[in-house]
Amino acid sequence: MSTGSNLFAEPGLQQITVWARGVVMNKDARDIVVALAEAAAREGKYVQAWENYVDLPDRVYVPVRAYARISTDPIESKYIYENETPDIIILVEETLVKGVPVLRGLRKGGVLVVNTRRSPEEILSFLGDTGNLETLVTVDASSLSTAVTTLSGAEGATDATGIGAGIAAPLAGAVVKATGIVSLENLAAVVKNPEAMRRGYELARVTRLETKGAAQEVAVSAGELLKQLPFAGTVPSPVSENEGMVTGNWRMQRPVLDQEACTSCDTCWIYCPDSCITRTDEGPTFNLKYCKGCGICEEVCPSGAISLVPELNFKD
Amino acid sequence: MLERIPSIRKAPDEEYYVPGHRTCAGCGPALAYRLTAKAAGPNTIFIGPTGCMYVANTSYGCGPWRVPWIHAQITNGGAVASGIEAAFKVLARKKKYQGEIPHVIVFAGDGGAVDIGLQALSGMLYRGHDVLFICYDNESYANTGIQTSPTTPYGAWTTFTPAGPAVPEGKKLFPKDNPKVVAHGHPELKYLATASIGWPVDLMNKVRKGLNAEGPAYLHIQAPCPKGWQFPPNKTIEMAKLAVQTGMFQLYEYENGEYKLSVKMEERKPVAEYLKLQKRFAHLQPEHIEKLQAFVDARCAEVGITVPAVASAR
Ligand SMILES: Cc1ncc(C[n+]2csc(CCOP(=O)(O)OP(=O)(O)O)c2C)c(N)n1
Ligand code: SF4
Ligand code: SF4
Ligand code: SF4
Ligand SMILES: [Mg+2]
Repeated sequence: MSTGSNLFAEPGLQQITVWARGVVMNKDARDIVVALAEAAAREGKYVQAWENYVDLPDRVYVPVRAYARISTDPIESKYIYENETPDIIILVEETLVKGVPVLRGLRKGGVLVVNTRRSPEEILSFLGDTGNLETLVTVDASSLSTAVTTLSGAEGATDATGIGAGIAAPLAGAVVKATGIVSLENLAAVVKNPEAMRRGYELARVTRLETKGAAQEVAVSAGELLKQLPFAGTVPSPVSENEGMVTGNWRMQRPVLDQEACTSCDTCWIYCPDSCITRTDEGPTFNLKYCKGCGICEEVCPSGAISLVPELNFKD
Repeated sequence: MLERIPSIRKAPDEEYYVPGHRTCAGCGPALAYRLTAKAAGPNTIFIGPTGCMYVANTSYGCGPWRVPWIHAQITNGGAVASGIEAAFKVLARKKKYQGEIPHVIVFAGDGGAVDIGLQALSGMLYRGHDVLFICYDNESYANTGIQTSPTTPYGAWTTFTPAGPAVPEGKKLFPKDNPKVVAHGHPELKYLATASIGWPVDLMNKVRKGLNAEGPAYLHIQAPCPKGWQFPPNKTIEMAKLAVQTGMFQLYEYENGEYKLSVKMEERKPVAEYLKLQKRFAHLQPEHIEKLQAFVDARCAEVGITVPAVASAR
């Protein structure tokens, strides 16, 4: 073996990265990697499955990752924290295609599986340069099963709700259809809802793409990040926004104002936990760079002047 | 002196807790922080003991405070604040600092105020430091994944009080009443109040009164936590309002030796109307709800909320 980036070159290894929304879909993300890893273990593979420590503790709607590694040989890179060059990427929720660098580091021949009702073309329109992406899989997993939200199992606690009771099962089924990474039978043996898993397999729509060949930007390594970090001590205070933590890509639904109905009462303004509303003579304006789409403004408005619209209905 | 804020419309525009933090969507404590910072204004120093409002706000070497902020251990918010306040006093006395003495505010969780941080809080109050100590009460050790704290209500599920065959109600103990602990044992205390993010103007005015008081002040803010209480993030304000309307949390203040309730209520809603919206209470049986209702009735009577609980017409 040579040195540098080839140090951990493992030809028999497949890296799987699942993206989801914190708290509300954390369990389903974890279940996908655990189910695929356990199914592969039944086939004599070497496996790992874990949640990305950097994303913990998870917060409601924050993008979070769960990882699996499946290999024909003992995994040498098992102490590397993150999957830096995934082969398969799974999005538990569709708006993750917008503003989240989900394809970063994707290897040649890469596969992307998205839980969505939208067409592959529409999903592609948000992804921009798809680089190494060769296969896009779309499946409406949310219609096949219900997401399971539980705090059990987070950060190492015990989870008694079972693996793959929710939308993890159909999504794992869709992965198998596009990649054959494990057999359907072995996956069925480990998930709690094999019926939904099979439906996910059947209904998954597989689109083969022309790969652009251009290598995806590789994730910044943990070592690099460490060098960029200030070591404790003092950092400057922000004045109008904290650009170190831009949260607009947490948003699944966007607040939209009906100016006619607004009475400029400022109720929405006072209650936004993220200081994302500015009051003007024409009513509130929303700071979409940071708005997390919590929906409080819509909920507290006494005049029904705010509605929440799916984020993917907007191109910007 | 900080002036009274008469209404939402007249509340100041300036934000000192700016956009860009990793708190949950719909985080109640984040709103409490924003309102506190807005009320306190530019000449403020925050002390942030470990908890969500430290960890979620400061990810990756940055934070959302436009004013100085310093991290303290979860145990010692009161001690760090005491040191900062005392240092400013000494510097001013020695003419090494000529500016206006800043407001010093500790913003601690219920763990950092009511449990593991209680002795530093008590010491600070006892010695009479001119500090406003705020407990943002999300009713659990939230940052570490929702473990029970002394303010977690009876009957709530947490990862340390799971409901099961042996203990069907989840948490068995009734909560510690920290405002009561603080009020009755600290002769130097100048101001004490409870507040809720559901009443933002009242909350901001209580922050200002606490800061205007010459000496230690304690403010206990109930701040619903969508992650730990398990309700959708758009319901945070509704949860805060229901907590007060059911009497689960009572709003009052203690100022210049005078005690008064903060909101007028015609009647209370039964606690069941609050419990049913939060998954942390989903396992409760009717006998547990009755037990909790009886506890709340007694606690309301104790603080002077005499109106009965009446089920809303359906
Ligand atoms: C002495 C000590 N014990 C334990 C911890 C781990 N810890 C970090 S945050 C936290 C929870 C704090 O709870 P609370 O003060 O209620 O704030 P919240 O996270 O709920 O906002 C704990 C237990 C710690 N940092 N220090
Ligand atoms: S949805 Fe509304 S309340 Fe929530 S962060 Fe966005 S603007 Fe603020
Ligand atoms: S709460 Fe509704 S009516 Fe009031 S300012 Fe906001 S949008 Fe307008
Ligand atoms: S866990 Fe609760 S207190 Fe912590 S960031 Fe989330 S909502 Fe806020
Ligand atoms: Mg807490």
